[in-house]
Amino acid sequence: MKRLDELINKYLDSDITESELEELQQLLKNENNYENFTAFKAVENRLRQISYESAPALFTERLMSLILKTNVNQIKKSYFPIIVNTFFSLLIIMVIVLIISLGNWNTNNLYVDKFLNNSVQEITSFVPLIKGVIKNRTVIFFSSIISLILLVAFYYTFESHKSFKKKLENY
Amino acid sequence: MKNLSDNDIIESIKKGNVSDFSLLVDRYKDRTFSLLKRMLKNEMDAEEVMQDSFLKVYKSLSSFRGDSKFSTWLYKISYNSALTFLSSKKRKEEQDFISIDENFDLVKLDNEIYSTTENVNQYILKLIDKLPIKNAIVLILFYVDGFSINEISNVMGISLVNTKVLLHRSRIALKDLLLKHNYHKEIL
Repeated sequence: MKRLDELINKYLDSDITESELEELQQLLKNENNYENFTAFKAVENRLRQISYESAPALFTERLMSLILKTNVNQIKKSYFPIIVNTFFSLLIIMVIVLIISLGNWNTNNLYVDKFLNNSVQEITSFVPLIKGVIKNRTVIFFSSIISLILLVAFYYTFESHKSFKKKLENY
Repeated sequence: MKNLSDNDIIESIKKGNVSDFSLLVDRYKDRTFSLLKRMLKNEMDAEEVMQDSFLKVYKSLSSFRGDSKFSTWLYKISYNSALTFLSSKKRKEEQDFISIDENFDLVKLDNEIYSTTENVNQYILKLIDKLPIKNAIVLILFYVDGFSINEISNVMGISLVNTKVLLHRSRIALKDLLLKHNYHKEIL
């Protein structure tokens, strides 16, 4: 019986070879085997008649209103990453400028260096308190580098969190 | 609109016509609901999971490349959402996830159903409802939805060989029960 069931299953899956088909035809000459085959066909016949159940009324309308609402929220939310990205970018640029201005670069003749020096002087003039506390240039230089590393690390953490969240939502 | 293919509708949605998503929902809501109700055995849960599944589909539509059929993709998401729902609700009864060959008492089930049904149609429908989830779903996807074995294996996340084994065992189990009650003669 096992071999018969196996062959009929292959036949029903249209996965049967010619030699197996011949073997099946031989087996079906037996009345009991043939009845077994008709029972398989009956299973197929009945299963194919099963119809779909109707989804709850107004399902589409409810879902679409939810989607439209989500879309509006997404548009509102989309400003947040832009603001955060801008904030991080500005901070990183400021720290790089600070590092360059504090370093002993031999760039006195460059206009950029003068511009940076002027910019730093202007920025620092607004914070005399900080300037008073941190007088050591080496300390400022290294803390700036650390700040830069931290900012970059924070930025990548934020980005990876964002992509992970997106993956979760898509799952 | 009814002549538009799934891919045409998806392209339109991607271009910004969000309301076209309702065409896909209308096209697939009944069959998705039937699948989920069969898995969750409850209309409200089925509706909740269906809504969640369609939302997931909508959100991920931009990543859908059309390598597989939309229906296969939707069913895969719905099937996985239903499994997650069952786990989270702690309704993951052992019986739901075993297959016919793993301690599933088909004889006891048959006795219960046979004594409470009046005809072969009712009998088969009740039997399908009470079968272990995987066995029922593989039969429904193959015969009702017309999925190929390859597509079923994709939806259920199991290998081709396992899909075939599951389908064959489910078929044989139903065939044996029809033979036992001589129901096959009534059907054909």
